[in-house]
Order: sequence, then structure tokens, then C-alpha cells
Amino acid sequence: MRSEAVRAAARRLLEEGKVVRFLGHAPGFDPTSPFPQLITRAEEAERLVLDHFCAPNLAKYLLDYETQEGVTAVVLKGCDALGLARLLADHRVARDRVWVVGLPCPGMLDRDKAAALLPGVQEARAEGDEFVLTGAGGERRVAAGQVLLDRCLVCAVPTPDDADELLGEPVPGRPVPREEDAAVAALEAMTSAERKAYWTEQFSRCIRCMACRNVCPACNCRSCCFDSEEPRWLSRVTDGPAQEMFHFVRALHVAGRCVDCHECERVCPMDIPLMKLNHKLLQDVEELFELERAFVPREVEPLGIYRPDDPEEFA
Amino acid sequence: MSVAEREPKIVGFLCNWCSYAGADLAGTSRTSYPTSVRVIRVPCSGRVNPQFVLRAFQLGADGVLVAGCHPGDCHYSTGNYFTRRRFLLVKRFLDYLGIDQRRFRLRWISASEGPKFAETIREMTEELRQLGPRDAAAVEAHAE
Repeated sequence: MRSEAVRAAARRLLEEGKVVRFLGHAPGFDPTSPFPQLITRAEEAERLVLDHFCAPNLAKYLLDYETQEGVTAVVLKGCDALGLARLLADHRVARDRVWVVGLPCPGMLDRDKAAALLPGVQEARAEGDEFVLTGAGGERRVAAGQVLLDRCLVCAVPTPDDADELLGEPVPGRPVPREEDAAVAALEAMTSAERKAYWTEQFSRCIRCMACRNVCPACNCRSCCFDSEEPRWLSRVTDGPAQEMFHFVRALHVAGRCVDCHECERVCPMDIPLMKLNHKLLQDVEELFELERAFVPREVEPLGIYRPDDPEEFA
Repeated sequence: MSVAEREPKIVGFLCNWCSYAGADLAGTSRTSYPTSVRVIRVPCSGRVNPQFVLRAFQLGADGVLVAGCHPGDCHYSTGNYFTRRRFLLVKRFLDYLGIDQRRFRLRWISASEGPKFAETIREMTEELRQLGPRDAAAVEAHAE
């Protein structure tokens, strides 16, 4: 899609010495799951790709270079840029040490959906409101709605607003109602016991791989309570209560700080619907503290301040 | 003892400066209230990590009470305002995970409000009795 553009940008930035390293994507074990790729020399730019499968958010990799000299260039989509905004608001990254190569994002494809539609899919290209998938199984034309990641179907921020340069023309957000709110409402309509059973079932699959934490731009503490040996906040056992505790704490630690990028849910190998937790908290934060678009990072996070006239339910 | 007769268990996190003194006043004024509450003294209601609340439920509490100074009266000026924000969210989130929100209470109880403390425990015990044990099966198993 934009592989040539990203290679050209990397070559130019590294040759001019504007940046000392460039973070982009490169082909992974298979073309539908690209890896993050760091390059430091212009001639390495050939390795980079930027296609419809480049869903991984690179913002958090910036933390790996926080103690190293020089400016890091990074390729960011609209959703990823909110992740960077989170790191900036948390003072984990300095803006003048980052060069943002923004991708006005046409939406990224869900590799599972794509593979289900065309087994052995290797490539995808956009044609209007459709995608053409190609691979060993031939070629197939599918509607965007069938193959885009769920988060992209309702994306409000496809274009980074804080980019130093853009790879293409800005893309408008989709004015689609937020479908995930329906998922939260469906859960809320259940009885307490049903919800308990639902979450116990979901959490029981968790293998505590920590992918959700590792990918999350809001989970950027220098040391994490889940790693602490003393005190041991969370048992290493993966029984029911420990699973419940892990997901309860993870969700609350990003309450009011989640940027709604859905990366946790995308990387979860066990398909735990983590965004149903995050969305519940996001909705409540917006409603209780009268905020709009609470997923956009702000100077002070909602739970870091108070108002004397906050709702009084406790008396 | 069968589930029906079992006295509900309440874990109460009381702030040192107001609510703990309030509970003390209830005691020294010989106000009687149910013995269902186990009090844990904390320096401020703001000390109460939501994790404590979930852990109390997981370890068998039927209800959890967090009590602190009235808004504006916090010994540390603003601790309880943060508590209020936090637990507005936590209460709903616990409910979302399947722990009925009637099992959780946050109350503002000053050092002079002994009767209010006693009343809160009475009310809560009554409500929890009606709700029944949080996990009847687990309680039965434990009793055997």
C-alpha cells in the first residue's frame, strides 16, 4: 500500500541525519503478520513494508530508546498516535525526540477474518470500498466491512493530528455509532450471576502471557505491580480468583487512561474480550465526570483530579 | 450452620481520623449493632486500593464497607475526594464483573457519628442477609 513511501521517508530522514533510528514494520513469518522493525542505516530501508496488515502499534517501542541519544522516527496511524499522546502526557517520551511519520489510515485488516475468507491469503489491496485479497488460493474481492479489524470499522481518528509528516492525504473518521457500546449494554442487561459466569468463563482462558499489558501504551509504568516479588500483589497461580484479580487490576490501572486502540484485544492469544472491560470504564468515566472523548489523553487524567461537586452517591 | 442462618460477613475499611473514631464512639456509647463487621483501620479512605475490596470479596466477605471523613473534612484535605471518584467507578465495575453493587458501600462517617456507624452496619447486615451469601456453594463447602 505505502511501502515505497515509507522506505523513501526512512531513507531521506536517515540520510539527512534528522533521525538516528527509524521504527517501522517488516515482513514477519507470514505476510499477514508483520513485525516491528528498527533500522539505523538508509540502506536498510528496503526491509520496511507498510500494507493493510500493519496493525501493530509501534508507539510503545519508543520506550526502548528513552535512555539513548538521538531522535527516533516512528510510523504511526491515527490510533497509534493516541498511544504516543498517552506516553507524552505521562512524561515517558519527550516530543522533541520523536519524529512522527503519520499514516492516514484506510483501516487495517483482521488477519483471521482475511484468512477465513481466503485461506492462504498473502496480500491485500484496497479498491474503493472493497479489498482484493490475493494468495495461494487465488484472488477474492470482499467488502471492507467483512475484513477490516473491528476497531477500524468504527475508527474516529484515522489520521494522526500531531504528525511531523504524513504519508498521503488525511482520511476522515467514520461517523459510525460505536458498536462496542452495544456489547457493554448487553452485558449490563444480564443478572449479576450471569455476568459472573460470563467473566469467569472468559478469564479462565487467560494464560497470563502479559501481551495485553506489554502492548498497551497506557501500561507504561517503569515497574509493574504484576512483576513485583515483594510485595507479591498477584499470585502466579492461574486459578479463578487470581485471573479475576489480574483482569480487574489491569483494567482499573488504565481506567481513564485507555486510548481505545484495541491493541490488548488484538494481541490476546486467547481472545479474551478485554475491550468490553475498557469500554465499560471509558463510558463510566465520560458519564460520571462529564468528559467527552475520554480516550484522548489530557494533561491530568480523570482519576488524578476531583471536583468538589462530583456525583455524591455515598452520603 | 446452614446458609440461611449464617451471619453475613462485612469487611470494613475505616479511616483513622473520622470513621474509626466514629466506630469507637459507637462502642463507648454502648450502642449495639450486629457483630457482622470486621474492621480494618486505614490512614485515609484514599488508602483503600480497589484491589483490597476485590480481595475481601474473594476471601469470603459478603459485603465491603469503606468509610471516611465527610468530603471537605479529610485529615489530609483531599484524600476522600479521590476516594469518591475512584469508587464511583469501582462500584460499577465490580457490578459489571458480577459482584452485586449492593454489596459494596462507601459512607462518610465523622468521629461524632457513632449512631450513623451503628446504623450503617445494621442496614448493611440486613440487606446482605436478604441478598444471601455471595457464593452459597462455596460457603457450604467451607462449612463442611
